[in-house]
Amino acid sequence: MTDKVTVATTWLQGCSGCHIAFLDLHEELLDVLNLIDLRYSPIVDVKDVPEVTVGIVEGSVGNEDNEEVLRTFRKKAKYIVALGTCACFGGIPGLRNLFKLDEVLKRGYIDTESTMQGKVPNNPEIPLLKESVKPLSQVVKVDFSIPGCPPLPSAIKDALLALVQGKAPEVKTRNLCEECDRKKEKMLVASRDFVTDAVVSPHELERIDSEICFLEQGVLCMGPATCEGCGSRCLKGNMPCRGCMGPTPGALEQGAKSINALSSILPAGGLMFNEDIVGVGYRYSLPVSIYPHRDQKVREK
Amino acid sequence: MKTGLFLSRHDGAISETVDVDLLSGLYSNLPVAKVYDSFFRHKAQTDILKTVDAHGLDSVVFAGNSPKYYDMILGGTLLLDALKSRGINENKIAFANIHEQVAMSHKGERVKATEKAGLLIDVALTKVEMSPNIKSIVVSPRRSVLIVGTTAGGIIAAWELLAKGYRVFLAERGLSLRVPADMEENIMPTLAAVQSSDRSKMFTQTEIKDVSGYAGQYKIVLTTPGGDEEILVGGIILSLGNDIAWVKALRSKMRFGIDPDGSVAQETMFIGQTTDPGIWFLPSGKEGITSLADEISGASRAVLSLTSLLDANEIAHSLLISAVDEKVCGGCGTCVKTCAFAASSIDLSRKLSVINPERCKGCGNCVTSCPTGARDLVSFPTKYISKAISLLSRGVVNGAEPKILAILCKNCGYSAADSAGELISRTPGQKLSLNVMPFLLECGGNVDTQYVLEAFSNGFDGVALFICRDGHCHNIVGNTDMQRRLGLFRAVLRSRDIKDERLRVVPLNCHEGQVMIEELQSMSEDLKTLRASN
Amino acid sequence: MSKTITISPVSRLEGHGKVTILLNDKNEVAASHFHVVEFRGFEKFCEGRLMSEMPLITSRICGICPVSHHLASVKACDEILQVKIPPAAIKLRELIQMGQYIHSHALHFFYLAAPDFVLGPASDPAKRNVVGIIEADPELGKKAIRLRKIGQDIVDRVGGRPIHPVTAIPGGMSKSLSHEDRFIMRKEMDEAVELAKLSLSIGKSVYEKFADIVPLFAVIKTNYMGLVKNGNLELYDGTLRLIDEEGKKLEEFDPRDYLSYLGEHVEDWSYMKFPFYKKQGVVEGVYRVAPLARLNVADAISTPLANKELVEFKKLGNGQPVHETLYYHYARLIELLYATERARELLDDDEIVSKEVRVKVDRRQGEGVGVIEAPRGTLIHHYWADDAGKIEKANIIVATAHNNAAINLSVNEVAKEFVKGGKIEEGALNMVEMAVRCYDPCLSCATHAIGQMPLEISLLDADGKMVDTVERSI
Repeated sequence: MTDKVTVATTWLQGCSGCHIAFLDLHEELLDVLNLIDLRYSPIVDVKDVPEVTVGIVEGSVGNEDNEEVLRTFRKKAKYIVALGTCACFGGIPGLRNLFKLDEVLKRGYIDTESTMQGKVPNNPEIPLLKESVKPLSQVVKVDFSIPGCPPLPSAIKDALLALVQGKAPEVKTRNLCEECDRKKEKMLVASRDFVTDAVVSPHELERIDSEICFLEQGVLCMGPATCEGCGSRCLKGNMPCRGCMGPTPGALEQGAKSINALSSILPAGGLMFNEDIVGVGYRYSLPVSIYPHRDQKVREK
Repeated sequence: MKTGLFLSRHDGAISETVDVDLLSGLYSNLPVAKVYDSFFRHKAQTDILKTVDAHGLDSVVFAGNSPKYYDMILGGTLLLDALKSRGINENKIAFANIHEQVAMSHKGERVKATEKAGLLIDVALTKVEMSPNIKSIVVSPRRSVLIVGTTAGGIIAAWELLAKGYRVFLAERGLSLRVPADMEENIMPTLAAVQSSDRSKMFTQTEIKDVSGYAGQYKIVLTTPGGDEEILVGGIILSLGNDIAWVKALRSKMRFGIDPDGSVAQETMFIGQTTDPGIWFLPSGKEGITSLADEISGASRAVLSLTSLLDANEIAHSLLISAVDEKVCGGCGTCVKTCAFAASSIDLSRKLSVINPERCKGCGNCVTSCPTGARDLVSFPTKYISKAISLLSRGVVNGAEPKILAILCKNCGYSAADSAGELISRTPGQKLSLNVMPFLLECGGNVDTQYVLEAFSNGFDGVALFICRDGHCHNIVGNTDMQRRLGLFRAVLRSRDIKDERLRVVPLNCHEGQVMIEELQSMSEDLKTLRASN
Repeated sequence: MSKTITISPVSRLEGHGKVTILLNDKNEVAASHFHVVEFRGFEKFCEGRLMSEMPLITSRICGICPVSHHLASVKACDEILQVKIPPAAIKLRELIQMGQYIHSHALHFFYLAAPDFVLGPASDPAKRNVVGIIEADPELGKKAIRLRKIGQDIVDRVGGRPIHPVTAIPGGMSKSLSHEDRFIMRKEMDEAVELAKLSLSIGKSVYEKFADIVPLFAVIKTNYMGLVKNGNLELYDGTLRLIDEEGKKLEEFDPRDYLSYLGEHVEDWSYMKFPFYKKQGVVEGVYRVAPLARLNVADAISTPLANKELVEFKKLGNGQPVHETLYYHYARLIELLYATERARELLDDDEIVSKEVRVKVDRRQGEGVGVIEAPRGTLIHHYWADDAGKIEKANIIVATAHNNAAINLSVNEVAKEFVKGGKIEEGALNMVEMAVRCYDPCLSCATHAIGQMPLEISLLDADGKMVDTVERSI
């Protein structure tokens, strides 16, 4: 028992999908649990967070409680691992940064069509929301990251095995095109012509070709601006990449990078009118943008 | 690294507004910070070179005139050549333009102008610090030349080259020669001599299909009536007369600048030199009217310069794009679609992008479009750009005066900024805000949309970009691509509540200093109004 | 002097919960508040997004039932685009949903709820978890894992990914099912049915053990709501039926008309809203959803084994709906059986491998409502899109929200039992948590957010001074 690496896990503002991915190791979960001593986790009943070697945290920081929990974990764990895209980059909940906090609360609790005589909740028993959603690394020092929405169960396992052996988990650095099996044809032709005439959503195609690069079918694919490591499952599901592995380590401004690249590939007019380049380019990584929040004053605080 | 800072009074023209002596005292951390009345006198140049040797300097910053000035005068070219021959890498020489872009624009505001000059010097120092040495490929030049077009000058050049033992190819698009009727009789003997030589070959009804390579080694594919033919030469002379249409067609095959009127642009003080050291042109006079004497002298000049280049044992060709970072490149192919010169391709077996140095012009467009940052433009590294933007964001005047980052492309943008300075210095009533921070980039294609966010994040009120007009970009598509990228990027800016007025794109040509002044003025007004309404 | 007892966080929930118990001057329980402490704001930040992207964005509301959001969302999109999808696509979507039910219900029973029952509510907390089950009974543990895996495998093969699937798109599905995938899943289904039957028998034996607690624990009488199709239990597409506490039908309506019948109430002490039946008002109009409710609402189940179980289950109500909150677990296991049977049926249907799984559809302006039964209750996605295909507004009522009032009422019942004389009795902590866990609340969804926090019960007097406390803190 004393030989095993002690581990604690928790989730902050996330969907818990990363923890479910961990459970999706299925039988292999038992092997992993034999290697680590899981002392604290949302799926166990332990009271206090003990001191552990590895603290695994899922989810981004969106309210005071998230921050408090994170700081406690930082104190109790020797190494903090950011599990999942929310923890690493802010994730989809980071899209809240496109709006002012009071607008978001007003829609949720007053203006929604089914809400009757609404008001914004405000009580000492519930934590205050932070003005801006942040990834873990903007609040505490993070030692290792496992991106993904959620990460592949095998990626979680491999990372744990590495930590157990005292090594840093592998970090992927190339974009998704490295992993993706789809064929490129027009993308390889050295000409300045766009690869298609129009930009469309998959449901607007006559036929969604399962073999050819989506860009060549006129569909925006975030593959070039997204880190590999997910097995390109969406592409195999005949849908384009939406960037959920987050940006590659050297190109964190995922939205700007995707725009720089796409300008040479798909017609600008189509991108401008038929696509939501902000909501696709920054969907998972808005909090790590150079300009992470709509409100300049919030950023400056 | 040992950097020397040299500041010029430019015989008072700079020092009456910018206190260069004060500035030199602020850089005591550098091995050398020295002031000269002018860089372009023999005595000063000797002293500069002695100083370089004495301190073993490996990098130099000149705070003085526009870098374009150095290309335009003999003293400038000599100075830079002398530095390079001492082993100082071309990427370790940087310029802080404190004359056209500071002193000329801000007469009477000595304290603030000096501060602004200091910021530009800091940026230049950062540049030499953060830029790696530019590597070169060394080639043995071929002693052969392709002459495109058959004006009288072209035929004369052919004859002179043959006399020096060179091989000569002539390619003419039309059926017959371009020699005007009144010169025909005089040219005939020369033409006969050219045609009878066994080292010359003339093609008519021939188009240039493709040009790759660099000075000393060009590979050219001609489309002749008999089919495609490949020739290998060391240099190219363009003798197109007044054929603006042909100039336009050739621009995409060979990279050279054009003037506002569409004719080939002269890039240095040497008449007939383009940006490519291996490509020269024979200027035609106004409306194509030249005298025979002019044709002869033009031809002789071009031949003299070209052969002195090609007679050397070797020529170095700079590699301006870094090698592809294999840890980061996933072979997505974006660079293939971006490059106007077909210099990028994907090695499918390794899923890696590969640059062909024979086609790459170092424009940096692929560096910008690469979504993983697998490449860098060594002459303007990304880290340097980010640092420079942050330095410049300090501004010079605090308070109501909006801070504007004025990004200038190396071609029209920068020249227009120089011309704006000259205009202001001569014209009372013309002015430029002290808080306009000029920043040189290679090309519009070098502008990563991320830089705009960096500028705003660092506190700039506005970002203005000055690029070449349609059809005039040295890199063919840099201006177009920048417009596309920023056009799309406006949606990102709106999502951050950054108002449209804060980003302005201004295409202009090199002489349009007035346009720049007016645009910056109006942008300043817009930004003041915006601030007031918040 | 009134006092407040706080329990936070409630553990083994999917999400963040915190309970406060308020006492009156006589030290009796006056009220209980189940606070949901997270909020992410999906209903706002979806504005401006492409409507066709919503199935991919809203699935991130929850990592346990992403399929439910994915499907409810795409149904709303289909309605906006006024498209009728091919029958094979409907079957594939229902199949993914069954896969999700298998994984989610197995997850809840074995990983979250069962530790209480299999190991006992007084067992060592360090072991009172799924790891403890595996250690105590490895064979059972492996079966639990196996059953969940079969469920996730369906979602993976048909949805493209087990968590946050991608294949349900406006107009149908992005890809058809291969013969190979069908063959493998069909084989697994026989095993799944057996495992579901086993789970049910374990469940029933547990109920025998705790038979005397059931009628006393957190029992409340409420209305019930769920989808039905021709009166049968229906999880993908049907009409919404609302019955009262005696089993009388109050309403049966097209779920797209939900706004006419349901409203949401806000309390300032919880980020989760309180849906209620408008005709009866905020207090009287409390209704419950999810397995217990769905089985109360349905007349029958279309698959044979599950239907047999339903008949036996309904006897517990003696002619009325089954009200005992602890029977949620029982109902959940019956649904688990149904899901395995239904998945098997769908895989036996040759149309499941048809290549005609979508129609091309162009974007247009419109309004659409997509309603589905998620494992934890009725899920409603309501979108308004402009002619560029972008979302103008979104309204989302998630499954657990409908149970919010009921959870509070149930906790209050428990509190009255286990908080006496102003002191927190031993085991109270876990009793309160057990009550909440019956509802399998997905607090991820509930405030479209999730989290986990330390748990503490504190007894505070009116001046806010701590009088007594039981802690489970970070």
